[in-house]
Amino acid sequence: MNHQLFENWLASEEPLLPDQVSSLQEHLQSCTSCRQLETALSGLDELFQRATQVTPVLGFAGRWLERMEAERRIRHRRQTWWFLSNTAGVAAILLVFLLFQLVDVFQSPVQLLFVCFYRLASFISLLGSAREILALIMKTVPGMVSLPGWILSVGLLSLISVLWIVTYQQITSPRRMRAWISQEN
Amino acid sequence: MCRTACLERGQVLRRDIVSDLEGEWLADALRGDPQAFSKLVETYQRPVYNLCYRMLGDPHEAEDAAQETFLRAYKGMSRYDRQRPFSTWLLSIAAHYCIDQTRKRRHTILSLEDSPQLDPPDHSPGPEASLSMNEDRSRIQALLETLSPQDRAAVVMYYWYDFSYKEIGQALALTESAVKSRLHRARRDMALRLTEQSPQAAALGRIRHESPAF
Repeated sequence: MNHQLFENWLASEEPLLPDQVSSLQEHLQSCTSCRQLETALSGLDELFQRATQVTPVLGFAGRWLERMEAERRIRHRRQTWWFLSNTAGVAAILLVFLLFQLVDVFQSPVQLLFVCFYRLASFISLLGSAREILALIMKTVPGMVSLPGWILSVGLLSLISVLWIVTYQQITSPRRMRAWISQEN
Repeated sequence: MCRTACLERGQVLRRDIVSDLEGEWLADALRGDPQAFSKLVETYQRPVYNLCYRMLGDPHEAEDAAQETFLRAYKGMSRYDRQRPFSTWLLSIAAHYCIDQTRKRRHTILSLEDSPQLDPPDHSPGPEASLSMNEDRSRIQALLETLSPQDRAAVVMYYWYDFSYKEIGQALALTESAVKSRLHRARRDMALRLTEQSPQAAALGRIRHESPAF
């Protein structure tokens, strides 16, 4: 029979069949190396059996909490630096773009003044047009809708607003959020 | 036989018994509660640290590895499968981290002066018993250091945590037959090395021709 098989049986923790037991016993009577292996395995098991679990120094959980807090601070600092560097990068690009634009300004400041005054005048003109349009709307629309119609419209809008606010508060209440989270888990 | 004795001495994780309290901590930790997770750290600190120490052989590195294990577990709680025991998952993380650390290292420095606490520390064995315990510990670490990192992890899980072949395979991403083969080879090699280094220690086992397999 294969010698390796007997060595596997010796090392195995699973109980052997009766015929395997007898084969192994018969083999051990003639094989010195297997007898030595059997003795050595028993010695090894005895040695490990005497070994106890080692315990960390007192305060392990507290040190872990401190380490986690330190990691969180490092991560937060790293995220802050990442955000600031990105923002600074975008600002630098915009500044360079602005500088290129300002080159023209420094070359001809009078032209820039004319453009600014023109833009300001256009803006004021636009405001005047908007005021006229609004005044026209305020003159014509009230005539199109009767007073009861106005009251009904305002009332409906108010009711819809109130319903929306109440529904939103109900959906986002802490009790409902906890129930939803526990349901998900 | 050895593992049954280990069970009686309470050295092994009681994975089958998960208290209701522990289940609550786990549920809260899965929702991201750090305080609940710290309770789990207090519960599992010893088995995790023991595995790390047996793998790395140095108490400072073991402390660092155990802390890192819990950090990784906390960050990866969303990936934890509740169908598996939490202890198995946690020890799997510890084993993989220690295997990586062992492969990075070039040599191990064993320091008996910075020894971790042994359980139970209040039994106060006599000086001869202490010396014997220190010798056993050194002998065990020396034997474990001769194994490859994966074999070492399998042996530690086998002797200290009563893991089945299947559970060791799940923890180390190995097949059951691969675990059996590695364990048999590792135990055989350690037994022969123990005999070479210390014939008396090897002879402390049963000298009758009786295998644990009977």
